[in-house]
Amino acid sequence: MGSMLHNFRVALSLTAIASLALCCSGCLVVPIGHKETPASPNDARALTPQMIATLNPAMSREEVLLQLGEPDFWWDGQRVFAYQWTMSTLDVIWVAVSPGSIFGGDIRALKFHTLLMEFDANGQLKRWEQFASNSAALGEADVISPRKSSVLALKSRWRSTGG
Amino acid sequence: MNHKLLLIVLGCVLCGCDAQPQAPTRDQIEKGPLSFVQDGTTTREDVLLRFGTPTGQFEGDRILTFRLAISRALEVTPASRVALTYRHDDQGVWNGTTHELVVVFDGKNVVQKHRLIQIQDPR
Repeated sequence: MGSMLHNFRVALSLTAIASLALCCSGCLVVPIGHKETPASPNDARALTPQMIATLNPAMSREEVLLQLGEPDFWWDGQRVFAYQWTMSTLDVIWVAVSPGSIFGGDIRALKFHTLLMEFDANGQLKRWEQFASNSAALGEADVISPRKSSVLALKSRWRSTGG
Repeated sequence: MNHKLLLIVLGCVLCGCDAQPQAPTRDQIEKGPLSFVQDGTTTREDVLLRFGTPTGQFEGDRILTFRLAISRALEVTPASRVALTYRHDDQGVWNGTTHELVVVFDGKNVVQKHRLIQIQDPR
């Protein structure tokens, strides 16, 4: 529900900005692409491809924890771990000028990453999979992380397709 | 003469820019504030007395994880002691954490192995 509200808010703001751009006497939109970086410096835990590449089926739960650190969520007696992190890939800076006023802002394209992994009864890594979804935020203060409920939904789907 | 004065002023300004200490390396942290964590000797009690409540417990409580904020001046603040800065909610937020310490204990509650993982550069 919160995520839907957030997406609605972002969509509404984008529409407002687009409308404003049409009405304004001057509007500047500058997209700035960059490599994936943590979306918020205060919440900067992110797994790198190099870290994920170290995973292999022979690893124990202990080795995974020593390699990747504490997961964000875990279930089923620690048989399933979920790591999730939010990265930014693109910033769109916009400035609108109308007679007598000037205003602007920053729209941030986000990528929510989730890494799910499952251990067998002996605590050996059985399988893992990484998921990503896109979203947007209005500046750094608006960056939110996916909620536990969304990761839980992903996990349910993943379990039903798993071997 | 004026050029010399300008260079002196510029030098002072640049020195001011460099006043913030460099981010400590993992080795400096391990040999500094975390030097008390030694595999084979440090006890669970030592670790808990220093860092407080762990943020994660795995395989019973054989493996503990601690989120830490380590400053450039090598001051270590465990997440459990800065509740106002950290948000321990169900969204898995890592606000303020610069490092995570993963500690594995043996059957005698002595540190068997540990690893410090950097989350972001110290501030």
